[in-house]
Formats: sequence, C-alpha cells, structure tokens
Amino acid sequence: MFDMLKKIWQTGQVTKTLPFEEAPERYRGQLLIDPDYCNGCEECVTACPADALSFEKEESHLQLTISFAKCIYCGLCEEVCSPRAIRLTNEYLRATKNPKELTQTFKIQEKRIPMTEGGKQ
Amino acid sequence: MMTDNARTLEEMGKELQKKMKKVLGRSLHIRHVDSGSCNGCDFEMTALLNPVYDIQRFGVDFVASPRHADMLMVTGGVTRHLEEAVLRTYEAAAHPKMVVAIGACACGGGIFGESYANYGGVDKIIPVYVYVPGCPPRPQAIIQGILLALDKWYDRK
Repeated sequence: MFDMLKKIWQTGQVTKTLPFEEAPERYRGQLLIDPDYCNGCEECVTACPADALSFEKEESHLQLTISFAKCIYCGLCEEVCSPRAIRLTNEYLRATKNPKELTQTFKIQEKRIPMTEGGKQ
Repeated sequence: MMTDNARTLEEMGKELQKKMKKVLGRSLHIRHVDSGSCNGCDFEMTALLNPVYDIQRFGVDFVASPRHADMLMVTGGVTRHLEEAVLRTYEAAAHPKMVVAIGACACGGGIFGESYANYGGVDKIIPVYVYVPGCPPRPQAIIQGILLALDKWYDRK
C-alpha cells in the first residue's frame, strides 16, 4: 500500500484543468486558400460533394467563391488540389452574425501555362 | 491561426455567465428545434450538457417547451414537412426570439442543398440571429454562437 501511495505522490497531477485549448491537429476546420498557388484547374469544384466551391470568370481574372454555409469540411478539395492551394486548418470558432461572412471570394490570376526550359512556352 | 482558438472553455463559460446576467438578468433557456437534420449537430448540442462541457453550471438550460425558451436553436435545413413545426415553434416562443442556426444545413443548405423538399436554410423561413457553420460545429463554437446572439440582442436596444 505504501508503494502505491509513494507512486501516486511521485507521479503528481496528470489531468489537465483546461484541456480545450485547441482542436486536435488533424481536425478538419476552416479552409485556408492561397490564391497565389491556385492554377484554376477546377479539380476542387468537381470533387466538392456539397457544391460549396465555384469558379466564375471575370474580365481579367478568375474568381473562386467558397460558401461555408454549404461546406461540410470533408477535405476532398485538399486531397485533389495538385498545387496545394487549399489547406484545412484546425480553426473552428466561426460563428457569425452577418450571413455575408459565410461566403469568401478570392481573385485568381489567369491560368498559368506551364513553362518549359529556357522560359519558352 | 490560434488567436481565437486559444480561448479556453472556462473563459468562454465565465464570459457567457457575465453576459447573460448583463443582457437578460437571469438564466438562458434554450429550445432545440430539429428541422430535418441528420442528428450530427444535435449530438454536439447534447454534448454541451455532458460532464465534459457541462454548460448548465453557467446557467444555460435546454427546455422542453418553446413557451419557456428565450432562444431557439435550429438544426437542419428546413424540410417541407417540418416547415410548419419551425414556424409554430417560432410563434410560440417567448419574446426574445433569438434564433441560432446550428450547422451548415441550417446556415444555407449544406450537403442537402435546395430542392423541392428542402428549403436550404432557416433564414428563408424565420429571421436568424447568429449562424454557426460547421458540419457539425464543435460545442465550443456553439457556445460562441450563444455569446454572439446575446451580443446582438443587447445591441438592438
């Protein structure tokens, strides 16, 4: 019995008082889109099961719209994105009073044509 | 990225308690309305009452009748059959009819979208105070939604 008490005393407190500081690293939360990396291949639009992503053609650029009122955070867009422009973070506190904040738009420059050696197309 | 997430549950709970006293002067009673959800969001709301989150210690309770409720929490994009249920619950609720849309479906259709059987969002039927996106949102995000709804109710005066 004394061994047990000694062990308890030696181990000390292990439980945390505040274990809810952040979501686990692999939690699928808020999408992070980097428009500089996007090449406008629209793979993510095809993959999205909830039609949350859409591309629109503007005069000089493409516009990527994402609706968080539709997104189910499945992570398929992250999987299919070859230039890795879309990433899912573990950010989750996204409540809002304004419904306009549920949609985000990104400006994407024209489709980049892959360059060959010497800078020639 | 971790600026807002770094807030702990305890801090949020204390803030909630303080704000409730300031805004309502008493505890907050919530009525849960299921308008055709897949039960994912409902489980997250039930998790608020379990020993891990235990929102009742801050003075928030889920009640069985809209007549006792200050706040309606709606989950699910409104289906054709449950439209009447949502409307009648909204009419029966007592005056601060704060409506919080929980989950992507209630915010704007989600995976079910808009169809002949699904309205695609609670805001098409009744006015919504706060939108909590997520599929499903974490219980902390729901607490944040309640905080924002109280804020909006306070600012209205």
